[in-house]
Amino acid sequence: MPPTSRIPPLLQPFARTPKNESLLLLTSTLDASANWLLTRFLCDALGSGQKDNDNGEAKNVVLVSWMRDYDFWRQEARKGTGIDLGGLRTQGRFAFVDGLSGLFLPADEDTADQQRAQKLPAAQPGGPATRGPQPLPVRGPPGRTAPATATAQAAPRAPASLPGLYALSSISLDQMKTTIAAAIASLRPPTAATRTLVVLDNPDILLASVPGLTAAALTSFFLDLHTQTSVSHVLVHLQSDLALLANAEKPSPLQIAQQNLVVKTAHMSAKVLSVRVLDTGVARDVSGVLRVTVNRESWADIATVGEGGAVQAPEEVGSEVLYKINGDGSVRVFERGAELAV
Amino acid sequence: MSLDFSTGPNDPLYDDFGRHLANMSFSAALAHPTFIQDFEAATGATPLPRWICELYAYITKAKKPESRLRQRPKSKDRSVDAANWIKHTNSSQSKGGVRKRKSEIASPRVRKSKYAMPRPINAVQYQRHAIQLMSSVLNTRANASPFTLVLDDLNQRAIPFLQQLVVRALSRNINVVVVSFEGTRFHPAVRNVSAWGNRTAATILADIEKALSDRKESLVIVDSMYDALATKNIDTAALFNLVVMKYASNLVGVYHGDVLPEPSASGADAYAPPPLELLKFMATSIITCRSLAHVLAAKAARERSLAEPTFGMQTGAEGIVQCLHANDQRGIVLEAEFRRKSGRPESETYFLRPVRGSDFHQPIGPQQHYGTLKQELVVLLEQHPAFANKNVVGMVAAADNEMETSFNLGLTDKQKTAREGVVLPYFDAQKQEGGEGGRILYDMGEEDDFDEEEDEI
Repeated sequence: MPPTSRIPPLLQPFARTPKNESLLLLTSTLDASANWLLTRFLCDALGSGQKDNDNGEAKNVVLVSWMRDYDFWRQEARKGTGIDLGGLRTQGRFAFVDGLSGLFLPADEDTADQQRAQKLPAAQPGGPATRGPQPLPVRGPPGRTAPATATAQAAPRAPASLPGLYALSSISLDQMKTTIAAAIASLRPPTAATRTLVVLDNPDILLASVPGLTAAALTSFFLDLHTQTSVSHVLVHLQSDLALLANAEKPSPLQIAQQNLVVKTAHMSAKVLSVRVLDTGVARDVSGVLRVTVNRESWADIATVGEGGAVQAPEEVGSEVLYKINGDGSVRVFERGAELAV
Repeated sequence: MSLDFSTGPNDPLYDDFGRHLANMSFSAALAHPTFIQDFEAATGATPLPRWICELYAYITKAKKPESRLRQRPKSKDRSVDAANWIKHTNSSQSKGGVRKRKSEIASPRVRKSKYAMPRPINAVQYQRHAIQLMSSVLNTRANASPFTLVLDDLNQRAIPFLQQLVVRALSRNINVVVVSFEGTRFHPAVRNVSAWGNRTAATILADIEKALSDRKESLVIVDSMYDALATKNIDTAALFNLVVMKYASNLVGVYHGDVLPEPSASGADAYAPPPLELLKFMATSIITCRSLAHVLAAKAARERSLAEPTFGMQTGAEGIVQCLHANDQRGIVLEAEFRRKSGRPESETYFLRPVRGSDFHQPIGPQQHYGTLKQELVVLLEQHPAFANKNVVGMVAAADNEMETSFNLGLTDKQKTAREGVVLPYFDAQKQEGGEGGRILYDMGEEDDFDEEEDEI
């Protein structure tokens, strides 16, 4: 079964990178996770080589995740969309940069002794190695983080046994950029038309965990990645929970920073996808609402004028659909008010 | 018509000159196209007599203004290649030295009587005046607005407005420089100064100067003034001096209204005015962008005396970043405030539709991307049919007309017809003889007894 058939037809125009090279913003809330949509983006970019649409060129993908580790994404992608990230990784079409294990998880007991001596100096050039205030609980079996931490001190080079697996070891944005650039460069040398999609999963955690980091520094970081050679699109996944945004009477500095990050990224993006729960409450047969809004004009075509009367393609106007995630990881997308066939 | 000049076989023509001259109308004869040929054929004089040549020249010269008048309707469209409008040599290589602003088009000389009272202008004059104000800002006229502040938010981004500015500037061969904090991909026709990342204020200003230096007139657009001021600490005065004073160009700054000012960690700016106030103080024009759909919804709410609706992030609903009706495709609503040189502020609300290729003439030269604009696109918002039309607003209002109750207060068609069929009491009494002469209609009840004597009294 071709992997694209796992994307419901109604979702396809939304889970596709637009033709123009651009930034994309995906926001989610605590109740409505957007991981299912991220895997659909991965699936569409990686597997759409032989599709009939006009930008059906398959892309290389670099996934940078600060919230989840590689195993989570591998399972999620296999369960939801049926793509094999491990296989694509060995083919050199997919690379994963782990921003969780090296930065936020404590080193494992068995590797800690030999790692600690080497890791500390490696972390120093990026400034004071202030880790996250409290480390997140370990997920998955302990043996899993060993390769990630092993790659950490060798920073931008992936070991031959684990191609396409990188890990961030420092909270300095410059070092992160170097590692991600190495991951981008390691992908199969693209043919003339093959471009790369960079997916950044929850970089907003850095706002909270890195002292002195501003929203402007992070948006510059996004732009910096977008200017890397062969990168055509950058998809940024941020949280838009009310608790994190500055809607209180006296917002805290962190809330202001998060609000500015979301707003500025939305201003820069050609497409904003937001996932939220139903406004009217919890429903048994609806998991949430996906809203897509499109910013048609951009600086790239600032001096080109359209020839009025053109029919707007459905993916070029904003719209809202409901979705339901089933137990097996598949997703059903339907219009508001449509009958849900069980 | 052929003219017979030989009145007698023996007389040469010039012997009888005076007699024939008195009889014929030379102006009519000479105007006739075949006069010379007829004259030659009749007299056989191959070199024409001198007097007739002079007369011919005199009469045809006198006729010239008349013929020119007749050709007048064929005058060409001046707006295609107006000499002052397009900067044909917008390069400062030829001439160095101090740049000075000079007004491009001399103001029309209005001769007013010394004692005439200024009359209040009528609606059409006001419209023309207001559109002209906006048009001069949109067309980057030299003295119209040196520093335009554009306020936008996620509900309506400034890009459609900036697009018009850029396209119109390019159509006039004005250099467009974009100082970008938010973009990486740019159209080749505009010059890009990247300002994000670890570039400092000094290098940004140096880059802007480099982009400006080889052109006489430029349009500088900063795509996020907040970043320029707060993040990069670019001095507004330095930027203004560089762009407006030194290079006699126009500066357009975009400020995202939904980006909150971040307090500095040191607290040094606790008493400083926020960047937006500073910019508003300096700006010569302030333009606020709004989505047409939102303006219509707000108007509908106003007419029903309801609270104005909020959109996008302002609604406070969790997870909503951008409103579905944001960035309306029909066009952009611009709330503008112009600060005139005299100090008089003028405010008006405009509607600007998206520009199309057919709005421009053919470009004249190869270095031009567009020809000049055929006709001004900007109109007042009151002129826009969707805003002015009461029916449309009524439809918008009807959409949120439904009262929020748990009862169904509506009527079905069947219920409506049943209600209309109900006959009200005493209805036929009004139809028949009721009211005739003030007569009282009274139906006798059982307990009434008719007393004839009372009636007789």
